[in-house]
Amino acid sequence: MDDIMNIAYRAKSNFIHRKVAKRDILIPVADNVANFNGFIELNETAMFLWERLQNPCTGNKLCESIVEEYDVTPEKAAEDVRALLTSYLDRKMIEEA
Amino acid sequence: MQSGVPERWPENATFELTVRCNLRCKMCLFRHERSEDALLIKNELTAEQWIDMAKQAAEMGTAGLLITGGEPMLRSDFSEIYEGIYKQGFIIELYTNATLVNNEIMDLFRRLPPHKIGITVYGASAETYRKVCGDSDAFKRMIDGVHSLMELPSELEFRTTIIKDNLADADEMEELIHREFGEKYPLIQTRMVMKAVRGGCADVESCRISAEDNVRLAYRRSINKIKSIVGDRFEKGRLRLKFEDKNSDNACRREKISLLGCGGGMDSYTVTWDGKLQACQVLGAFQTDALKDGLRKAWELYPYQVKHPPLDEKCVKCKLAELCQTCPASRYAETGSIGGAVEYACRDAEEVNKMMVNNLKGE
Repeated sequence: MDDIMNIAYRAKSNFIHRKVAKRDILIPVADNVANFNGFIELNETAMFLWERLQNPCTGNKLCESIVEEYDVTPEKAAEDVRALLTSYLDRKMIEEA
Repeated sequence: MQSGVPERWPENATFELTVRCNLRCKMCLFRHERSEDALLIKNELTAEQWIDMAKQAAEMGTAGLLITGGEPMLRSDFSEIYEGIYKQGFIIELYTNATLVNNEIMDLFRRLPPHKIGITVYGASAETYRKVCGDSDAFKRMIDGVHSLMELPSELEFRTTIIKDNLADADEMEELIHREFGEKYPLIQTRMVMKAVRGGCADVESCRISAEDNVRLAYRRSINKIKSIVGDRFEKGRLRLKFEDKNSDNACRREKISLLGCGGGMDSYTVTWDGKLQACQVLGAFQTDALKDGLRKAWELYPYQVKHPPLDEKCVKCKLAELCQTCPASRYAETGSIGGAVEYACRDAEEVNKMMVNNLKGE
């Protein structure tokens, strides 16, 4: 298994989730304004995972959650979770728990 | 609901913390006469009320929040209000004259930086600040204030309003900004100066430049902008002035139903210093009571307040309507009616049209 899927991550607290006009967005605040001046819109899957990352969670655990919730294969779930975690790490949205 | 009638989403808000200011700019749309007026201060929303208003805004789905005044930093409880609002999660923009930036505020902003700061500049010298704002010392305080604010990760934007007293500084102001703060900052100029609203004390008609001079200034600044980009390649003879309707091609900007012809009251709103909800900070003609009834109810009830009188006959028949700079808010500010004809704007449109005709003739 890839390392990224075995490490427990957690969402950083310098993003605040808001519901705006039926959309889920993350607003960067405090020291994060230096990194990201704008907001991030999350699709349904990304929001689902973001909620779970409010507590420490590994990529494997996130996969299990997706498979339980949505009609997808474990392989597809793993592919999506890996891509999302990589994206979140690139944007400094999550940190190791 | 009929199809095509859009939903209203309160995505962006303006919180007008006060209409008091430490400066006394001659052309200010909003400023009330005395910065320490006891009655004004008594009727301002308290810090607790503003923080609760922000909570209600967040629950309603507001994401973008502009904090403005008057001068918001004039409030002795500004830090408390700002922090209480900020921690609820908004894209925060702050409008300020940057003359009251102190250590307490900088400590606050280092922890909780605004996403964007709009700084108003009134002149390129202490003397011009004296003439425009009544305070020559404010010029240096602005320079120092902006230097402090530049430490922050916030995006900065410089804005000005040109009247007779700072017309001579129009170019120099932009040069000052580039020299002191950096070449990357343009100076955004208010296109048209309007009369004061909602009890504002400014005598705008006595200090604003003529409509014709205002258009010529806008034209000259635009040419300077082009020259700064193309340099020696600029040839006046090849310049073409044409009217472009930016709304026509872009699907996102297609004509759509709204209350007032803009986002006001549709996707944005203002909460005034005394707790009223308006479509924008200027349009005081229609209000609901956010303080008394709650923000959500005030937002829901707002459309029922909006009444459209017939548009002035002159405007209905006007051949220059496409060049007209008015909107319901500016009509209201200038004439007291959202359907009124604004003579200043008529002259503005005529001058723009004259320039375009002359340009076609090669003049």
